[in-house]
Amino acid sequence: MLRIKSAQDFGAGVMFFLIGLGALWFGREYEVGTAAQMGPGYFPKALGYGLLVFGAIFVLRGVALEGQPIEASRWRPPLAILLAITAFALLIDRAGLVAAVVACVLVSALALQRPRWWETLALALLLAAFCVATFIYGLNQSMTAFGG
Amino acid sequence: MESDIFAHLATGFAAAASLQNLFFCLIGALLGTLIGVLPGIGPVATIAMLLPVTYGLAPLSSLIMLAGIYYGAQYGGSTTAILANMPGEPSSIVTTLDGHQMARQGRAGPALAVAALGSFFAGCVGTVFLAGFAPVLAAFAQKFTSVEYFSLMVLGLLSAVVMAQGSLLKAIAMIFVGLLLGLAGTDVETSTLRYGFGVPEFYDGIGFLPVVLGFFGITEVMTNLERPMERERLTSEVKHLWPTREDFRQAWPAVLRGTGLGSLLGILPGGGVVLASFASYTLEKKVARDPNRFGRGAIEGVAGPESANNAAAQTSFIPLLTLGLPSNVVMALMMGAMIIQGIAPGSAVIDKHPDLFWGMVASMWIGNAMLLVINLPLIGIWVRLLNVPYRLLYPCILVFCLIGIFTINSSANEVLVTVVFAAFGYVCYKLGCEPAPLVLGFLLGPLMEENLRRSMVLSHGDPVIFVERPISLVLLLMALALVLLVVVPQFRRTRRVAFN
Repeated sequence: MLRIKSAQDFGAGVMFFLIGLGALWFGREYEVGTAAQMGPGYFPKALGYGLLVFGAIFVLRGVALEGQPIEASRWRPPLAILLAITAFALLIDRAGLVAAVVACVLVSALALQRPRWWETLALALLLAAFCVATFIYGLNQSMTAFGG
Repeated sequence: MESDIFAHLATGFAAAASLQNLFFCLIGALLGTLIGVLPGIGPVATIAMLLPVTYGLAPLSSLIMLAGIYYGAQYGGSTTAILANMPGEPSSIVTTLDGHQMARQGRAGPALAVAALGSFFAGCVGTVFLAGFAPVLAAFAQKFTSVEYFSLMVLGLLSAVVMAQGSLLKAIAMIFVGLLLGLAGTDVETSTLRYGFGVPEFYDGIGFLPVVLGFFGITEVMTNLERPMERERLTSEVKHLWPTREDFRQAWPAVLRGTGLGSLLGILPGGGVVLASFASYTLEKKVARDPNRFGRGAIEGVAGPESANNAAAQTSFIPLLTLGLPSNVVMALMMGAMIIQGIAPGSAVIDKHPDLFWGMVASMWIGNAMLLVINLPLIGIWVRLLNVPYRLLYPCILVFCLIGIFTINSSANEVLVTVVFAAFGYVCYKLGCEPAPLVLGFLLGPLMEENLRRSMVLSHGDPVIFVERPISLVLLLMALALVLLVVVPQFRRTRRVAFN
């Protein structure tokens, strides 16, 4: 029975292999050309094959050699942050900077185990006011405070 | 030649000392100190999020400000290291060892003063190196063709790998991933669209802010939130700042050694502030009469590394301004800032834009002098900042990153693209893959392909051309030597010690 001795190496191997595979698959129609006249496919395909080799090496290493395990993930922080970015992206054009900042800060507070909502709300409003003053009035960036 | 330098410096000072440029120099120095003091945000994320703001500035002003953030962070990082026993910046990791011990013994003042004075001295000397050495190197690099540039990039990328933490092979694989990401978009030579995935934002190439901020700023926020951010309580109030005579006697040789070592290591492609500070600490321990004092509050252990990282911060501009080769991620961002301003980084910068080059050099002296004032008499303000909890900081970091990404093209889709790279960066962190090689590869990808293509056209497809040209051969041999150096067990051990 094959046992994974280093989850970090094994996982990295799988990742590199998949990226290499993706590079070759999505680039399958790019012309390779010759060494003297390289087509658009030459360099990407070389990198893709290289990543397949790296992937294979790390998968083998992960099975053969003892190494680092993957640190267990606490899912809250990364998910909350990714969600906060998404909220910002969806709101900035439609509802303006104030809504985007407030939403982003409130959602990002989900990353904490015990969010302090009043404190977070105060922070969100202060930060929104600061951003409007700095980026819209101070630096004339093309954003609106309240959308439209 | 010498009088030339003085004439150039005079124009440089005239340019840098305009009211506007002094203002941006001060902003850079203040921001640099601020983010240096605060753990959890570094110069990479700060410079990246400020890039869009520099669109509207004059080229010299924007570069002066961004450079100030970088070397200012080296000053601020030591404050946190000494008072709170945690590095404000990776380059002050070693400063925690003796600096914090000094603080516990009630000598926080002298530790801070020596760090700031050493940094000031080193920053000034590093700038002298930059002023003297860069024009020579740039003149030499004028002869480079695409063949030499390709070999130079190989050397630069490989040395970045040697300086990365963890597995070398993983770092090389990350370079490959980065190069691949860099190729997405329309191929300049054949106009073929590569890896567009139907996302219009990708057609001109993947934006570098989503990648850099996804991998650095935002991934850092996510991983910082995962581990509890405990802070040691500040051990002592800073009372008397001025070091004793004895302190000075012990510190100044370490400052000199740190400055020399840091200046040299900063020039190396792939080198930089972190390596310089570690190397200097090792050196101080080696030359000390009584190495046992280290780790128990030896002032040399603060003076050496803090001088070394500042000297390196100045000299690491040399490869960028003379060869167009960014030696670390901060320099890669400076390269981006220059391109935004329509200046092609490389050997022609000094000749074509003498005001810009000499103005930057002059601003570094001015900036270091400002930093001395910002960091010594005003130390109390920064100490108070250290008490701001991370739960109030990270939402601000996040929002500033996102506004930076949005404003570069006024595109909400770019912000969405960031979600992908932040998630990717998080996975890489979990798998022990360093982001720095990927980001460097990403930025150099298109240049590397272009130079490879041109070289191969020159040689009719014969790769022997890379070893036939003497300069290219030397560069490749240097790259090979670096790799061999890492495989040699002894160096491997020091590298492990340095990073753990």
